[in-house]
Amino acid sequence: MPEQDTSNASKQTVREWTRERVAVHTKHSPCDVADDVPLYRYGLDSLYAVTLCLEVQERFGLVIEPTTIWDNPTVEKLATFIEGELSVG
Amino acid sequence: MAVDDELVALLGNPHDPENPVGYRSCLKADERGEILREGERRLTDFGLGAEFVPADMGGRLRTLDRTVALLRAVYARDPALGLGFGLTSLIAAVNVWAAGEGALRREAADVLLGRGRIASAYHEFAHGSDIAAAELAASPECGGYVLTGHKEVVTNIGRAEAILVYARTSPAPGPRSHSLFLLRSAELPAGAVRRHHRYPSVGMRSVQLGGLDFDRCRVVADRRVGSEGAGLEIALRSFQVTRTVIPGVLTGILDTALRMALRYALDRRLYGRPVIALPRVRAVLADVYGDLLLAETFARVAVRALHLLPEQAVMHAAAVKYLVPQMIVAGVNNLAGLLGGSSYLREGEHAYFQKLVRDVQPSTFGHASGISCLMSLLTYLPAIGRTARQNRPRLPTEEMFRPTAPLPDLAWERLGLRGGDVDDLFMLPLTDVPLPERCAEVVEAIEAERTSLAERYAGLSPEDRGAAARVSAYELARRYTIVLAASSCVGVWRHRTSNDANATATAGALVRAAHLLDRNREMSTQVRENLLDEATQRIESHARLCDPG
Amino acid sequence: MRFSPLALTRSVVRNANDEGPLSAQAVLALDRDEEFPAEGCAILDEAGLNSLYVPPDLGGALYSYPTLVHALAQVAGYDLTLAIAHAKTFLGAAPVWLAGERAQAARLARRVLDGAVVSWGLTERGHGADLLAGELSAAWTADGWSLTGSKWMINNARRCGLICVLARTAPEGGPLGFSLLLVDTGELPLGTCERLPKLHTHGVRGADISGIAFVKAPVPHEALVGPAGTGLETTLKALQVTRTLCPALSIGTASHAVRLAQCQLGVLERYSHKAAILPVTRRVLGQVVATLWIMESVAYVAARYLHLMPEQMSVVSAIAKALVPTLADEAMESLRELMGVRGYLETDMFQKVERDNRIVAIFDGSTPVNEDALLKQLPHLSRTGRDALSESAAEAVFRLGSMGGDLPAIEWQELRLVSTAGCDLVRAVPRLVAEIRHRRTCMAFRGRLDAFEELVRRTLTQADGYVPATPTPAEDFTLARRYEVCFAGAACLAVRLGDAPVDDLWLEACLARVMECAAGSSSPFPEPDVYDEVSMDAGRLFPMAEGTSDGR
Repeated sequence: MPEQDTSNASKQTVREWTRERVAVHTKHSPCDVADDVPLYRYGLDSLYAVTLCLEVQERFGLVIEPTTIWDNPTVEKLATFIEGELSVG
Repeated sequence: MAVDDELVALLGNPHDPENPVGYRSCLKADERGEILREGERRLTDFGLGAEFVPADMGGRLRTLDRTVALLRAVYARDPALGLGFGLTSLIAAVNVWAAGEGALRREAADVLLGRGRIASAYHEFAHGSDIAAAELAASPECGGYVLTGHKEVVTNIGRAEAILVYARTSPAPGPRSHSLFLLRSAELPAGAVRRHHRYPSVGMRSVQLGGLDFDRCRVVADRRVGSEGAGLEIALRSFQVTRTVIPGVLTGILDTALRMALRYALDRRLYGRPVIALPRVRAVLADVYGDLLLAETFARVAVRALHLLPEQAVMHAAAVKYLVPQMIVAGVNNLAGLLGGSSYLREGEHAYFQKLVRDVQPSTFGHASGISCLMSLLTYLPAIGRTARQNRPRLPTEEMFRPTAPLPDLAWERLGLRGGDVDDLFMLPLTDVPLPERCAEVVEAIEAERTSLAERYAGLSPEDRGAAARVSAYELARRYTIVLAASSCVGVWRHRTSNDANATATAGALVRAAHLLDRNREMSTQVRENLLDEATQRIESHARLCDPG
Repeated sequence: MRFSPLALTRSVVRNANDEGPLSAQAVLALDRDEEFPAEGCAILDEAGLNSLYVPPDLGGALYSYPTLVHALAQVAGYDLTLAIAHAKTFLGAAPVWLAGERAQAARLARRVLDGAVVSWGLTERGHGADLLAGELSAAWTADGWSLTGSKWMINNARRCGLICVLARTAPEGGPLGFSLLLVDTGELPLGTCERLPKLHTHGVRGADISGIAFVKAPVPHEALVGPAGTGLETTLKALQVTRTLCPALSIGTASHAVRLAQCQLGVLERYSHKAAILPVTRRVLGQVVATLWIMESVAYVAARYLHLMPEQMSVVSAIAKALVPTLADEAMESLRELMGVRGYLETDMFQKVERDNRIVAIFDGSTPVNEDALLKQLPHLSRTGRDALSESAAEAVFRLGSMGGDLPAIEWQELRLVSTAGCDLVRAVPRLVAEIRHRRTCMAFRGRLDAFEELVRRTLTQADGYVPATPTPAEDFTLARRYEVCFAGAACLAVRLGDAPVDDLWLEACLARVMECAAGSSSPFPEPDVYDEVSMDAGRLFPMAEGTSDGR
């Protein structure tokens, strides 16, 4: 069961985690997932965002809407957003 | 007093051959492929269009249970009248309401309150239910947009005052590439728009289906509903409303079909006895009645859940939109089997039946195909499975299951896509209250199935989502919808206020749910006989088959 | 006389091209306008299809029932309305081949070969399949019979020059109170016979489904078909033959629908960015193909049965007529889902095929009527079910699956109201299974074979001690269905053991589908992944003509 890690989530960890999740969902290896390429280019459909945001909740305890992921559609942008939310909360 | 009493009275006696909105007249319109003018006139006079407009904009829409009841009554008379008059206006309107604030909101409301129509232009042949792939392009240009492409098989596009168009505003694949536009038919530039010839359909024949070719049609930015790129999001949020509403409306078709089949079985004699005396006939009638009750109950609870648990609506809507239409179509087909040759004649006493057979068919592919509903469910099931293991059921309030209890106004802004990891309807305790006779074992089996399903949902792999999902995953999702339907029945039973008919209805519905999960489960003779007695009594006394509650 | 299947196929294909009378466009227009397919009938006449309606010893070309089944399936694959419009003549003539006086049969044969339209008047308004409730009466007079009464919902009643009518000849009726009369409508005086209006139907809209009314119509004594009082018996036996033909119609419509769905999905796959065929779509399509294969096996085996073991046709015809159209209905519903809105537009062919198809399960003895007939024989089927098969009987069973054309002539006199031997094909299941195991050393479907054998064993056990009750309890129909499915599986085994163009993949798909059918209504998401491999396949035993009208 993925544990919650709400404190001290460094940018590196968040970015790595995001890259890893995308890799798992698209059957790539994490090193093939670039930070600035739109996630749909890796073959994720519009509902992947739902799955991802549920995973974000389980991992970081953060409740976000799928549309947030749509609006931050790269590893870099998403990681930055999550970080931002965590440092606030 | 039921919500639809006034409307039903307005439609008059369906069996009266002189009634311009009776079955005979509806059939004539169907034969000719013509709009039932008098029917539309009466619905307009009733102000059915106002039922699609929120109260705070001058309409009558607060809670959708009323909308469903009214449209269901129209569908029970003539499904084509319901579709042609305005089901698609409702679908279009819901998109505008879901899009939030904006001037077009007022415009849409005014069209509907002014007795006009809005066509809902989503469909393109090449993409069907897959709206994320829609190709009609709206290229941003000079502060506005230029539309190029087409929409095909759209209800009322030829006579609607306004058209809601779903178009691609960015060539990039992805969920932010589409937008919605509300166009005025009268303002479409003649040279840039070409109307398709009418698409004649084999059923719903009086409905006018058309299409449009756009050839560099200029549209000002003000015509855009919501932000640029918000099209898919708005559509998915609207689905939660429309996918919940439509199934409840469709049950009207099976209701009428069952009434007709019961009448046939009671009146016709074969081998010296009434057809209804034949055991095989009794079994089919009872099974279909059970299906109708199950479908009705599920649809009704789903509408209530939309208001009371809006965050979970995305799952409930997909589930009810998958299961109910399919049951309705199967039910009508099973009844056609009973009527035999009489179901095949377009004249004579049972002529209306073949119209219902044709009219019911789009239920499973119209608006959103069953498969696409299950596909979206697959996204949510893993999380639901994981939390179900933790087994912390939360009892939904009784309002969810009491048909006459008041509902809060629909909270449009709370319709999200997230779903969440809990489905309170799925997790409803099923065996903690006494159940009607003969239901205990059936419900225990359903509860055991649910536990097993939850495990399997938790174990779903990332492959089992989207277009690549394995067939076995669809079966798992299908079973989810059945558990929700059964929970709806148990919930309604738990919170019943009176009367024994509920016991019969509940038992009948639950055993049909069990049958959907395990086809070896058949209705017991006792339940079958109770259902038939109930049905016969209601038919003979001209009462409803399903209590509005 | 010889009939050339190839000539028929060529003629049909030629006329289905461009805007020919059998093209999709023309067929849809006729349906839309409820117009009779007269041109189509003329084409079939010219191709000599009516020679297949006449036994060889009367100058016709009915050497092989499978050949008739195939020819009709091909026509039905273009237009079911045309198929029933033309082949109805066989139904009207069959009682005469069976029971008519030699001279009477010879006269009728000449007329049929000349293109006469013969109808069969059994049903009456308000009586459905209850033939003993028939009110049309024939009163004996010194000069002949006097007919009064009407027949209703009769195919070709307005067009026919001859109609074989079931009439009450003893006022008290009963099983010996009816007789068949071959009425030449051209010989009737004015005012004694009226054609009833064409009925407007849901499907086969252009067909002449109407009726005929007689008012003291004088008919010669020689019009009697078989001795007086044998009408019901002859009818029931003739139905054994005609019900065995109906699967041809289902195979035609199902094949057509499968082809339309495959075309549409193929087009989508070609022109869409991503793979448009979802795994679930592929699986369901493959399941439909497997269903078609089972339908073909049952139809083929049943047609050969008529030649090889006519005395068992009371069982075989009931199974064929109950099961095959039902499977077609299920397949059609699955395909309708796949077709979506394309399957709903009147400008396209699918909706016509879907509507037309529905009539096959309804007419000529609906599914419940045939299952009732099967159930009445089930105790005997169970008692004889485990009797050892004699060598000659086993050999006959194996011949059922063979493609060999050397069939003995159909012996109409050997038809029986009840099959005393039971059903040898189902009896032979252990032998068939053993032979499959013996010949195929490496089988992916070993498990399915075991499961099927077990299904047959269980079904026969369930049938043990079965006592038919009137009225038939609902649950009994499930047992009937299970027995039908046993027959179907056995038919597939027999076909695999023969020399048909089928392979182990075919058998695996068939057995998977057979087991699903035995379990009752199947989940819309079938488990067997063997279906994935056959989704774009086509019929094997009764292939449709190339260029089947696709519509759009």
